[in-house]
Amino acid sequence: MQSEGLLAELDARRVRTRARASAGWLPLLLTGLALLGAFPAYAGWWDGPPSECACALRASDPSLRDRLTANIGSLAGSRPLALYWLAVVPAVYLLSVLWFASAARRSGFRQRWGLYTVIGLGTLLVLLLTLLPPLDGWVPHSSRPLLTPLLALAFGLLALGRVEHERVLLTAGAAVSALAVVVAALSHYVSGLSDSFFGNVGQALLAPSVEVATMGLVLVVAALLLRSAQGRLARSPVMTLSPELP
Amino acid sequence: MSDTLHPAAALDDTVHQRARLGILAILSEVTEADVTSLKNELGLTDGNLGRHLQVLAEAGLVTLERSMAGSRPRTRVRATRAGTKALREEVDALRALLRRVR
Repeated sequence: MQSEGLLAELDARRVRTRARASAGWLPLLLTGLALLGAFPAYAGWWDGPPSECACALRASDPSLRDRLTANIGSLAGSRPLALYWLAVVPAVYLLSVLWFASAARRSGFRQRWGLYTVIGLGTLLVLLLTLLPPLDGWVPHSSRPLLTPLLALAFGLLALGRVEHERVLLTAGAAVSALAVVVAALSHYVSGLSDSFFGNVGQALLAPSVEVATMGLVLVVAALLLRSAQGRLARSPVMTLSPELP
Repeated sequence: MSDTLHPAAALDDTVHQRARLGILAILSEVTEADVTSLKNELGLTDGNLGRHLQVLAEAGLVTLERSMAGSRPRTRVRATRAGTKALREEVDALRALLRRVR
């Protein structure tokens, strides 16, 4: 049946093109590596009390820069962690942009990858703005731990998954979003409970450093599997069943 | 006699051609594609692909953007909304045709 053959050919072309145009595995890999790299910073979380937001400072305080410096620790729960993410998140996006340009040159196909960068860096910018007046007053103090730079990576992956129609990226974005919430919850809302309920083993397993490193490892493996699968699809032949149309 | 039109009547002459359907199928998955990539993917010659692209552009189904990449000319192709819709309708018509034959 020629119509059937033509439809199969069109489907095969679409799948092959999608795989050839796909470049999302590298941002996923970079996100995984960033999470793995954050392990030491999260492991040192318990060395001192989480940084308090200095949002209560009066607006007449010296400058926005001083205010940002004072508040920066509240962005991720500790100052070293906040500085880590503020350096790593833009680096992930910068490397991804360079990678997308290279991928477009090689494949000849271009996707709306700009959306990934805009959403991710936009989220980071909004998070930074929430440390400054007037937005700092709008965020309830109890909600502040939920606003972590992990969200900038998570939302970027969600946008990338949408652009590339790739379920792995969408799932990874959702998982990192959930991780951001879990880490904030474990660190700020239920710290001590894990020890009471699950003992030392539970405390170790539920430590944010373990959660973050595990997610990082999962994302690295997922990125490598995704790359392999897309490579296979991109090389798959498109069968042209008949030269004539029905 | 059936009240509804035969599914073949829904096939668009401009789109209903293997190479043009291939072009639209590829462009439906990406934001834009180089002419060279389209040529390689579809196994067409420069002249053949150029002719198909001209027909699709004249029908408002794709847009062509010519630029220079260093000293070499480069043409980028995008599907318009009408092009994406035409592909979808063509695929629907082919599926309807298949259902009728079965």
